[in-house]
Amino acid sequence: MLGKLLKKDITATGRFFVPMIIIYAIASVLGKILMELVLSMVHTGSNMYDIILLVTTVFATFFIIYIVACVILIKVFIVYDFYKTMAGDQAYLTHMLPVSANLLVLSKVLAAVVWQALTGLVVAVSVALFFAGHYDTAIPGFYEFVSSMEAIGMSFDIYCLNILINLVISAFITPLMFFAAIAIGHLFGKHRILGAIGSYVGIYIIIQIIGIIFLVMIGFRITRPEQSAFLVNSTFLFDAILNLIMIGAFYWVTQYIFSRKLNLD
Amino acid sequence: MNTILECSHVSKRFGKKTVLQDVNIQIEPGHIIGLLGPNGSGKTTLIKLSCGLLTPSEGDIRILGKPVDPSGKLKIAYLPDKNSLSDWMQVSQIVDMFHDFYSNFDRGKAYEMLKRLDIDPKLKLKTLSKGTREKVQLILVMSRNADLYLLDEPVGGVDPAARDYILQTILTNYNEEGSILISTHLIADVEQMLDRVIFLKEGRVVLDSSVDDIRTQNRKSVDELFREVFTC
Repeated sequence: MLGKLLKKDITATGRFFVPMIIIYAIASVLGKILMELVLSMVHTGSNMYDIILLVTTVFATFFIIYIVACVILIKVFIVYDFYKTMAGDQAYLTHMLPVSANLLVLSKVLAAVVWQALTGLVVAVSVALFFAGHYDTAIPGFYEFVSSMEAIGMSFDIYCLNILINLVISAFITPLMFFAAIAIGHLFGKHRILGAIGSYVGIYIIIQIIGIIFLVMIGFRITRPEQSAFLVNSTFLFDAILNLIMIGAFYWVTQYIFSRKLNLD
Repeated sequence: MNTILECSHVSKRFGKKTVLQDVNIQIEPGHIIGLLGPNGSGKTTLIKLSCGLLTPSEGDIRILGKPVDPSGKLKIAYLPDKNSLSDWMQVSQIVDMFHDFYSNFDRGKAYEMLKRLDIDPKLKLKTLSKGTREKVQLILVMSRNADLYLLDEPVGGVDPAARDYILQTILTNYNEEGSILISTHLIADVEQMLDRVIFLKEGRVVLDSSVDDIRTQNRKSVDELFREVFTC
């Protein structure tokens, strides 16, 4: 049944994400062409240089705005689909399917993770595309970054591993935090949307407070600059553990409310 | 005989408002039951409770002896009083989805009914009129070989010609070994198909009787008795 649910959820959310990703990919290719054009004309003294530079600058501005919009839209689409199908009009159909709330939530989470992963992959490819042909200028900067990390006693491999682990975890926690807030909001009778927003803000504040307490506690233990690596690694580890606990908690709360406290009025 | 639906001492409150109070109902196979009452009497609430879309404040609801769980939902075909289908989907995609999830869904029957109504399966739901969308929803429900059909106001808000089609579709397509619970306040339209009626008034069951008993003991039609019970 999970496969069938995933098919349904990925198809439903794909109508938002597929055009978004395609536009991003096309914009990346156009951006690369414009960038190469500008670079090739720098020392030629061509009359067209200023025009091309202006077009590229305007394009780059819109491209950055689009990237920011995408980051926001990914969340908006995930929340919109979840609310509509789990607590809105289409919830009548969703909750009449012969599947448990557990599977319904799992499918929504996995669909959200799939789209975030695909979007991340496209972004990674587009970054590689921008650097293509210019690795000679990019690589020295990269080595400089690695050696500065090693200077404070940090292993670059462990740093990358930490980043990767936290990226994977955040792909789960981002949708789940919204889902849990919507589920808690479902308990607020006629003020469900307000309840969901309030719950999200409440959860966010609690997480921030826990994070600040941790940083204050660990901060007192740092007395020498060489301990910076310890601070960074501890923060990564703490984030990973806290996020894993929250993933479990959000998932449980969401499926519990939709299986035991469902009230579609 | 197995009881398909059993509601024992079911109450439902929304905040301080009591919508259903101490409702006791048993539905056995092979019946077409009218759940009748004026607007706001608790018909929709009772139907939603029966299919697990609402959680009772008190009492117990069982489908074939078990609490409403995913396997129970396979046995219930529910027609909501609003459109619950995704507007962006083609009719054929929705049919495929029902076929994917419900092992008792008859795809051939669904396409046959769509063809009879001249509904192109390739059309997206949002391009169809409200009435046609309601018919698609009814076709999906009646294409299932369910044990219990819970139909919430299937003839409310449609023209008389559509009403005839809807009632005919229900009668000719339901699983006769199952039962139908049909909620409405348009008694005259459904009276001929019912063999039992449940009157709901202000959240309470005020009458639960066979249609034959009403006719022989009260010497009235269901419509006449309804007007008498619910007179303002």
